[in-house]
Amino acid sequence: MGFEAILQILIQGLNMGLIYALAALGISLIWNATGLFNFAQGDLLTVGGYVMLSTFSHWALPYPFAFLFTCGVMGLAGYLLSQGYFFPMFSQGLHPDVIVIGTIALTVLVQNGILLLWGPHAQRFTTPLGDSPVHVGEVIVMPYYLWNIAVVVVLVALLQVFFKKSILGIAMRAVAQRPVTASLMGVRTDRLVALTFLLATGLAAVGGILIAPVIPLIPEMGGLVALKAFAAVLIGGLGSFAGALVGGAIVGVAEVVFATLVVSTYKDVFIFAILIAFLLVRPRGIFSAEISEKV
Amino acid sequence: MKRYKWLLGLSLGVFFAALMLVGCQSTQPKTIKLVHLAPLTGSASSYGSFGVNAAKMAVEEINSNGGVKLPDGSQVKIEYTEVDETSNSAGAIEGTKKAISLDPLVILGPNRSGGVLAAEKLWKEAKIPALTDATSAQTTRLGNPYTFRMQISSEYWIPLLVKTAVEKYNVKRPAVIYGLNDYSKANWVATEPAMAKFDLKPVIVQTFNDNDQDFSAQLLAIKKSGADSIFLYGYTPEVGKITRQRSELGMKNLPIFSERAASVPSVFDLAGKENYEGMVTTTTMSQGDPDPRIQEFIKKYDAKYHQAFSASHVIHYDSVYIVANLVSKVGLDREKIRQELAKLDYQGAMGHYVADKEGNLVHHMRTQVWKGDHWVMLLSENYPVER
Amino acid sequence: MRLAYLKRIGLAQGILLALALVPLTGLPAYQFYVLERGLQNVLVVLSLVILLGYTGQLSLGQAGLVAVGAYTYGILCVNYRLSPWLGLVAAPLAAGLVGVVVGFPSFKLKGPFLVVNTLAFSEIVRILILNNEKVTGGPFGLNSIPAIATGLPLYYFMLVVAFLAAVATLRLSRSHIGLALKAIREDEVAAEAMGVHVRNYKLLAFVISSVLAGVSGVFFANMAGYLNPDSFTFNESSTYLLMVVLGGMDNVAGGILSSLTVTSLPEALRFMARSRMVVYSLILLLVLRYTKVLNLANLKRMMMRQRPTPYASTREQDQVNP
Repeated sequence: MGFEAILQILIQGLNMGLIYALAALGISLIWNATGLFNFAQGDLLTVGGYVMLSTFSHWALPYPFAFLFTCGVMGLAGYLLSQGYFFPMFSQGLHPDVIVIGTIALTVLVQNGILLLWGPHAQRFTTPLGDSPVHVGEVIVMPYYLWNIAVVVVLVALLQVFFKKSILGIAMRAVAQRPVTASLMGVRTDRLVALTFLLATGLAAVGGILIAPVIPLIPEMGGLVALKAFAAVLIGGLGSFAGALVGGAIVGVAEVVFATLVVSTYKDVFIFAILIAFLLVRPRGIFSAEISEKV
Repeated sequence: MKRYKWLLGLSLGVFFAALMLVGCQSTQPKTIKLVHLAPLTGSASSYGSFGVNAAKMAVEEINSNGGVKLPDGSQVKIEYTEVDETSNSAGAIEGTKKAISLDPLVILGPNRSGGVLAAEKLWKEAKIPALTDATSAQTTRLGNPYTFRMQISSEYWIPLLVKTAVEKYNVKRPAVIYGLNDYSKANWVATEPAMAKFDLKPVIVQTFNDNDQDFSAQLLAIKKSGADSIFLYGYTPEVGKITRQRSELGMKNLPIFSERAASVPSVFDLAGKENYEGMVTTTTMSQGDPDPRIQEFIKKYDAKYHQAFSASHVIHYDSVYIVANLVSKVGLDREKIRQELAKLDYQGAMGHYVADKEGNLVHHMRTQVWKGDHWVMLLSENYPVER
Repeated sequence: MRLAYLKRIGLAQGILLALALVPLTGLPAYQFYVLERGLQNVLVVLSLVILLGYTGQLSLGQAGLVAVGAYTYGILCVNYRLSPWLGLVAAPLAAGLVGVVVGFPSFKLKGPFLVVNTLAFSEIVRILILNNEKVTGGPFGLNSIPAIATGLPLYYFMLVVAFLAAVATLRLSRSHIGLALKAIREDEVAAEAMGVHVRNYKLLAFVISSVLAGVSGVFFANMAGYLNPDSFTFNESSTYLLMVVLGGMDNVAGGILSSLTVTSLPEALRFMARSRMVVYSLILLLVLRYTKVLNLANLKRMMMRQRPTPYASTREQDQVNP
């Protein structure tokens, strides 16, 4: 296979992998703070995409403003979701499985809500950078690939700074590691859990915004992205930042490579087989979480 | 046991009350009861809305003109209900059972081949004629005298598509890519023999799964094969994405030949103007057809719903008129209507409907190409009616 | 002690007995079909009562196991022209075998790791079914599946099987196997220390639940006469899970009730047209949120003027990396 062909495949794979990575990041964030595996992350991502569709495409607000608006709205939704729904369930001492199933019920609500609000027709919008392919030698790159990479890099850098340097970030890590001690030190656990949700939904919103030029927005999109995101987050290491990114990249690239070299119909089976293999051999993934789980 | 009894009784009571409520039907005056099974939720839901809109339009037109005159002189109106068949077969079965429970004269739909295959025994048992919308050839070959098809089977559409490709585009090295669902696979099954008739063979065949998001592997393989055209069969999101992605990967010059799902407006949105340009699809009715009746229908639909629509999904407008016409001939008798349907010969707004021995009612086929901002009709054929 | 035992069995039995009387009420055909579907789902819910309620293993893969049961039955009866009764026996066995494979990784996995594992297996099953047209009919589905019985006889047959399954599940709860499973649910390490072979019992739970799901699949094939892989997706798996949780995870009677209710809820809401699924999911979300108030065990305690408790004893909150 020619070098350019390989490069092309890699680029396609990384493009999808970025999206999976963003969803995986959100899942890891919530997991770290609360021990809850958010099955609705993919659907939250989809909602983000749809909200951006309305603000950017339908109401024709300028892209940066629409971007921030969408993230803000989604963040707020996450905050309210946490305060109103999930945190009360935590504090009631409800069985953790029930809460997880709450997220599953949430996926049904979100998917049908999207259907109701935005209709069943597949929709799409694109970045102001346009849709003309950019030719780098024999390799073709879409302008929004570069934009997506740039956004994710900046985002990850910001998050790292946030968690390591800012008070809020440190407080969040404290709550994740030692909730009781953190609250003894005066940290308001409920607010921080809400903040975590805010951050996670904000991330989902970004993911949704970035995904729309690549994949058509349909109400069921959440479920489809979610499965690959789960694979990404578990392969990379649940709870680990780097793991989410690497896991996403691996899933994205492996998908395309398998589809090209072997057969495309079974590429999902291939990914799941890798996932199961990891679960059997190294469940904690490639990068075991730096932040330890709640014990 | 005491403590539980009342709880048990209560829950069961509530439960059955709810169920009963569902089945509540007051006695009503005589009407022509039409139940339309359409995919209103799920992945096929974009098609469902067009069919329902078109049918509703016909119902309103007829009712506002006083309804239908029965042979005995009385006037009856049409009562139209839509039932969600969802987009999977279990939903189609449930939807059909629900439709049957509403005691309709005739059922419109289901829309999906999978739905028809799943549910056809039900309307056969209930002896209700069904004007189905699916395109896979099998659906009218199951020996069910109550199944009628208001669509063209892929067996006939695909040869016309191939003919268009050969005669109008001089295609020599076609690539085929299709989705793994009943609709698309049926199209593929019809493609190979159709191509063979023109001495064509696909240079490469690729498949994808419904809900796949990335087709670079398949498209790159097509690029490598040196094909000069792509035959594409799939549902809206995938068709839209593939149409776009082929340009992204440098194959914009490859014309796409597709089937009715590709003429849905949302595919245009997904693919983007430049990439959708030159899309060729099969259809039962083309918006580019100069026939005044068709243009009038298009005007009416547009005035009422202000939305672009897919021409091959609105055929139930004529279905409603057909039923109304038959009722005025033989009255509100299901069996008589079925017999009339079996020997139908009716000129509707969108075409001439003639019944063949399998129950296919539509024989007029078109292919069309998208140029700029409108459809242009290419070839137009009626396939022979085998009585 | 005896009396409490009878009381417990009474509720589940009572519901199923009431169902036996339903055809006599002259329920219209469509509503009856919905009820039948609810009954078919009862078996899957029971499988989850054992797997999740008793053993604490959260699985999003039941739809795949139902599919194995349904398709094994369908393939044997259609392609190989076996008698439906043979299919009825063979299909659950096949499902059980698959259950062994799915359950095998469960030894080391907990929480989300386990869930995703089961989900992955379920998806693999579905994709395999979709892509092997010669055997399974692929996207065209499998048609004209002969039935063990149809109509009313089928209903009563299903009812009898459900009855037996419910009684067996209740008995299991009290048996030493059940206690072992519950011990695993509470604290695996302690259970192992007390002599419970955690691995074996986990596997047993998976196998039993898979067999039950397989039987449910056979009934699905009987009721519909047509199979298509689109009936066995993540959506179905999550619905089963919702049913068992709403019923109070280890509660058999609750599971039966919630299976009937959740199955009929979308139908009852049909009058809402486009918004019915949104309302349906909102109802589910709210019930989950206020599940402490709503669940049967707590209602009972409230009736006896006791304070409500979470309906499973405190389980380890952590999902420790295995």
